[in-house]
Amino acid sequence: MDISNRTLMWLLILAIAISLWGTMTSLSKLQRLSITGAVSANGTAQLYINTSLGIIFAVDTVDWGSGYVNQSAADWCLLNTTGGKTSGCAEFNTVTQGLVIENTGNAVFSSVQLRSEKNATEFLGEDCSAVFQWKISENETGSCGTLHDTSWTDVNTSDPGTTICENFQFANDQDSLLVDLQINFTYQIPTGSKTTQLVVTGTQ
Amino acid sequence: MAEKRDVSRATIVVLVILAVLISLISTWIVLVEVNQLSNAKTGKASATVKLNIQPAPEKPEPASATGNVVLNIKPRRELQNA
Repeated sequence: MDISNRTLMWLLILAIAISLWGTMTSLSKLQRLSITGAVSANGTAQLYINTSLGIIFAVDTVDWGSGYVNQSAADWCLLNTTGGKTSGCAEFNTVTQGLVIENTGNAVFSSVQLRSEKNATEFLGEDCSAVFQWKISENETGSCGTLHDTSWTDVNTSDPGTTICENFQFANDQDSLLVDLQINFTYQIPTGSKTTQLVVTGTQ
Repeated sequence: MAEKRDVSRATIVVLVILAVLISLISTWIVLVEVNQLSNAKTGKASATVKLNIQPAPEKPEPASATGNVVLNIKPRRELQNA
């Protein structure tokens, strides 16, 4: 059966119209996922609240300052964020506050992953005794369903990192985790400025 | 009765190109919107850990000084003669 060009033209116009209608419908349905309100005939108010996800480091820096290994006292130095500073650590700051992760959204994170950009050697330098560890706890009781790495554990550099908490809550007084850090090195550590970043990822 | 004039092939080609373009652009817009929603399902933040390791200060050289101790032991005989 031969189809005339005129028939083809109408079919194409129909195809274009269907394509445009499909796009408009899809976009309209997607937009309804944002916060909207509607009142039906019987007076019932309906409110759709969009899920807001947010995770931050409320305390985002640990700085042990500047110092050296005082071999007169010990050949090694251990620093942590719970106030730990051994006799071999000369002139470093005493740090009593670890990093604090906070859920700033209105949804529970089913899992929270933490990773470090550098391991102990990459962070501190070539020293066979170099140690870089973290320890996770609740900063506010009831913030986390299941905690992991609750004792000193070597940091993980693989992406997306170690799951440190399952079911991270969002209520104002139950929405923060504490990440304590600990490093250890000897007098053989290369001198200079050392910096690394920790990245936290929350998944709904 | 005059036969209806058919639409030209050029018009059909233009419409086909238009249909394909609209379809592609529409798909792209919807995918971008869906992607934005997918990205909203995770949150990310970062923190910094730092310290600066200085060279240990040089140990000062031990202070030193010299002193002389002198004595002269005379032979016993001389002592007796004296």
